[in-house]
Amino acid sequence: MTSNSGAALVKKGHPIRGILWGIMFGLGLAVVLVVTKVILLELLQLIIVLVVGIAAGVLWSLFGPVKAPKGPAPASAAGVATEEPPEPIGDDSMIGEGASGDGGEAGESPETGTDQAPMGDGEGDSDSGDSDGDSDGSDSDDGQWRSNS
Amino acid sequence: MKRFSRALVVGVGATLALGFAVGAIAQTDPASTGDEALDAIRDLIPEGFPGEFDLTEADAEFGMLVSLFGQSSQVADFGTGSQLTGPCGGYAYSYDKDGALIDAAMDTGDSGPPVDLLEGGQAFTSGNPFKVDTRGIVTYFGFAPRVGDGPLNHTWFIKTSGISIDEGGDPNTIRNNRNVGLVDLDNDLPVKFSAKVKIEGEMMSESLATCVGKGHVDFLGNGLTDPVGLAGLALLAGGFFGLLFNSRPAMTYKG
Repeated sequence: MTSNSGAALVKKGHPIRGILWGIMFGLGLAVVLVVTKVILLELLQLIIVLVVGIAAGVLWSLFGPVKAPKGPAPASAAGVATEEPPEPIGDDSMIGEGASGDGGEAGESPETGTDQAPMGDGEGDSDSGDSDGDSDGSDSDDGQWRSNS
Repeated sequence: MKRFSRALVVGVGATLALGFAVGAIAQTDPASTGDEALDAIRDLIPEGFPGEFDLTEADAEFGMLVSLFGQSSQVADFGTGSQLTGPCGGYAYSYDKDGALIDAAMDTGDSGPPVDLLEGGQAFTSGNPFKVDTRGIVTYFGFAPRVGDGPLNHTWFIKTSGISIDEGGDPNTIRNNRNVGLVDLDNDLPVKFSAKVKIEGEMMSESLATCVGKGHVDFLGNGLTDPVGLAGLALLAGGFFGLLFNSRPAMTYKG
């Protein structure tokens, strides 16, 4: 499956989350079963219930119902801009040379002084874990720069 | 990743806080409606002065029980899960928070299992565990052996699932052969709970054969409304909702 911008829509499981929440679920289940006297307060039985809880968590995190993406496809995924950059604030002459592009001075290339801004990788990203919304211009690890012209 | 970590930390923290808070509230609930009755039982065995009781009244009471139930604790229904072998024996009475007798068992010191004094049959089995109220008291009288010198330089332990619960020992140079005591669960258990537990124990000495005991004990509490039960429910709910809302697979864009 692909979006309009060409980004592929893929299913992503969260087994680590499943393990962690499964531990909590298994511990709670073990305590409830002991208190209701369904099982003995015995190490082996407690471990079995805990393992069952962890297994349920992992299986759920891999094969449970899939959550739909929360936002539109990312603009940068196919190297195509789908959103207009924000308008610069104020007059260009007040900001200074080379700061008239989107993103302001934070995105200025130190070498050339041209109007360049980093493509925020979190912008429009539907992944719940990856979006950090960096906009200070210092995060250019993906190296995706584009010209404003 | 940040959002996941935050959600996890908040979820775990909230769950534990809820469990402990509810548990603390439940713990402060006064469960002392039967304190006068329990105090009367406690007075039977004054702490630090058990000798007077065990040499007179307790032994006389044990003799009466033996005459009522027979010299042997052999029972036809030899179920699984309980035994008391070796030259040890005695009886135990369990009282609830109101001071009412809820269970009683005895062993005459032979190779047979302990017997239930209230319902008959074998005691301490998985089907007929020894009932103990976590807000009550257990009194006991034990001997090793009933007649003759007691164990010299003995050690003992009690454990469950291979984990030691308690242990001790004594040189016992004056060769005492009996003891009486009181387990004050109402005062000694900081957290009340309900559970069935399989317990085993041994007493070894230089002068007597080893006594080996195994049995099931049913701790009676308020079930899920006890602090432990509430904490378990909080954990279960936290884990369930964490799985439901924070660990489902998701569709994500990848280009």
